[in-house]
Order: sequence, then structure tokens, then C-alpha cells
Amino acid sequence: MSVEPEVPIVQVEEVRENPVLYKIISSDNHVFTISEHAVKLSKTLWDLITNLGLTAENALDNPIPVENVNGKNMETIVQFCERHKYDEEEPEYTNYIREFVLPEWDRQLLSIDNEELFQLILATNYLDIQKLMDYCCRVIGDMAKDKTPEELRIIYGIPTDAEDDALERSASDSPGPSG
Amino acid sequence: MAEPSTPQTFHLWNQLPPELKTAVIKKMDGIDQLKTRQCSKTEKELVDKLPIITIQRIKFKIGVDGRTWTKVEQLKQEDSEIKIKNEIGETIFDIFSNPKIIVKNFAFFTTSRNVNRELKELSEAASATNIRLRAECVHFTLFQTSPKTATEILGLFDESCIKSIRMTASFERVVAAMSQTVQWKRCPEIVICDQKGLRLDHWSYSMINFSHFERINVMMEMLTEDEACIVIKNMQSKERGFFKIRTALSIKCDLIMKQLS
Repeated sequence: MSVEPEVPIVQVEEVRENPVLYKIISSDNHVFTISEHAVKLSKTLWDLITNLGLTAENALDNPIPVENVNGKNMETIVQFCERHKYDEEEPEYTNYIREFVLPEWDRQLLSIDNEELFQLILATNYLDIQKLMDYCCRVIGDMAKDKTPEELRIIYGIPTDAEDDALERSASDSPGPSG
Repeated sequence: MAEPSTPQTFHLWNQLPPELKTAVIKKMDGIDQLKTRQCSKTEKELVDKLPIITIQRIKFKIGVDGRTWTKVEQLKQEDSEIKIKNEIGETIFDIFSNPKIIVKNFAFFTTSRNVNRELKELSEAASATNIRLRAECVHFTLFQTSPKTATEILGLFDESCIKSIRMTASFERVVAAMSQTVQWKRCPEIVICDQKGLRLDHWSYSMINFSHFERINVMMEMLTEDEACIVIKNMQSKERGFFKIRTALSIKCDLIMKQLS
């Protein structure tokens, strides 16, 4: 398969041991390299790599096509995974006082428009990246903080039950394709 | 160039598949989940499927000017499961009539010495509804309260939920009385912090009453070598334990080491 990347290949720094890199091709044929530690954050990709039997020797010669994710989202995902690849697992004991606050770096990364965020959350769900999924959900969920139900309907574009029923009625009243 | 700001609206909500809507709702605070529930039938169904609704923080105050609610009072009154009324007892226990609701941090303030009337109403409401306050971490300011009042307040909480008791330093007789409650005995963590501006010179807590805790963080004016040994031996026997005791009394380490050996 011949692929002409339209954007520069994302370079990653692998400063610790085990510098195994993998290539990923997005749906719009952008190519990304990602380190082994980072790609492990995606359960889907790691399962694929394991099933394909990719090794340190043949990884870069066998790019992994990901049909469901475009280049823009994949870039965000690769950045996120590289940033969090050495994160330690959350300790079992949680501090009851401290509330979770999205780290500034991640907040900046996820300060994107609705359409991008929507596509990113779908991509993250498909690639099964738990931490990014948590953060995307928090960004959307945080919009609800201290809002009234009326404000929430505006923020999320949720129609009232009456509006919903009216829409359903008008849909059923409208003539079908045969007239 | 200005830094990108986090969007404040998400108009593609209705295009999210239900499982992703649920994932987002799970990240909201319980209060926001309950308000999202009121938006439409679809959102109500999603919230009702959640196994648990965690409210991050509730402040409850009795004494002087009566009771005040923080955040919870913003909930819409028409919601059948959460009614915000002014009467004591009914209000607070109505919230917990939904068995899925649990509070992460429940701050219980007593702002005057005499809160017997309010507390009696609360206790009666708890008995009448057979509901206890479900909170993981309970915060008390109990300095001026009597042992009886302190135990009654602690008795309002569901012992199966409590994971941490945090209180301002109180008289030893108050702590001794509290330590006899099932809520104290089943709780794995205790934090007793200093009362700003107050100095209690002649008191100590019996460490026997603290032996079941897995995590202890207390301020003590007096701690004998024997009591220090109880704490250390007790923590040694636990798989994972943590303790921190600040004391004004100089403890002879050699005596402790001798006892431990």
C-alpha cells in the first residue's frame, strides 16, 4: 500500500529503554509513529498489534491502518498517549477532600470545537483509550456544573418532552415516499 | 494569539450513542446528574440506569439560623425524588430516600451549643423513615457539643457507607462516647485536626478506641509511651496502614522500642 502523508509525520521521543515504534495510518492516509508504551494505552490498537504479531524488527514496515479515525483526531490521540504513557495507575485509596481537576495540558489539548470533540470521543471509544475517554467525558460533563435543567437543555441542545413529541408527530404525519 | 478556551456548550449531545451519553453523565457530580435527569425522558432513563449517584459535597448546618443547604437547594422542586423543603428532617431524608444516592463529603456543622431540638427532629425523622445519611466522608465541627449530641449526630449516618470521619479536636469524653458507636467502629479512617485558636492542655484519647482504624491522623496534646506502643503495634499488624500523630509531649523513644521488642 502506497501512502503519501499530507502532514508531517509526528515525531516522538523515546528516551527510556525499549524504543519500539509503530506506524499508524489514519482514514485520510496520514501516517503517525507511536511508541510501544504509548500505543499500549489503546486496548484496540494493542490487541491488533499482538494479533498481527508485530515485533520490534518488523513494526515500522507494517503500518496499522485505522479506518475509523481521521488524521486530526489521530494526532490528538498520539499526543495524548505519548504524554500519558508513563502515568502510574491511580492508587486505590482516594483522597475524599480533593476533587478531580483536569490537568492544564489536557484541558488545552481538548479545547476544541464541538465537531472535533464529537469525532474525538467516538474515535477514543473505538480505540478503547480509558484515560482519554475519561477526560473527554469530563470536558462535556463539566459543562453541566451548577446549571439548571433549563440551561442544560440549551447547553446540550436537549429538546423538551413536548418538543420531542411534536417532532415525532410531524415526522409521522408527513407523507411517505409514495405520497 | 489567544489560548483556545474550553467550549461551554455541546450541541451534538443528541447525536452521541446512549452508552457515550452515560459515560459523560457518570463523570458529572450527582447534583448535576439529577438535574440532567430532569431535562427529558431520554436523559431520565439514562440517569435512572446508573447504579449509584454520587454527590460530591453537601454542607448541613444546624443551630442559630436553622439549617442551610448548599447546592442541593438548587435542585428543582418538581422532581419527585428530590424535594427541597424547609422543614428539617423531611428534607434531608427525602434526598436519601433514593437508595442510589450517596454523598462523598458530608459536612455537618453545629453552630451553637444547644441543637437538641433540631437533632431530636432529625433523629425522629431518621427513625420514622428508617433512612440514614449515606456519606463516605463525614466532617464534624463538634467542639461545643456534648458526648450525647455527638453520638446522636454520628448515629444519623449509615455505618455501611462511612469511610472517613474528619473532625475538629474535641474533648476526650466526646471522642470516647463517639467511639462506642457502630459508625466509629466500622470506619477505616479518622482525621482529627486542630481547632484554630483553641488549646486543650489536659486531654488525651484512649488509643484502644482507635485500634481498628487503618488510617489515623490526629492531633494530640498528650500521648503516653503505652499509647504510642498501642498505635505502633496495631499498625504493624495491618497489611496496609497509615498513621500520623502530632503531639506536644516528648515521647521517650527508647521506652517505646523496649516495649516493642
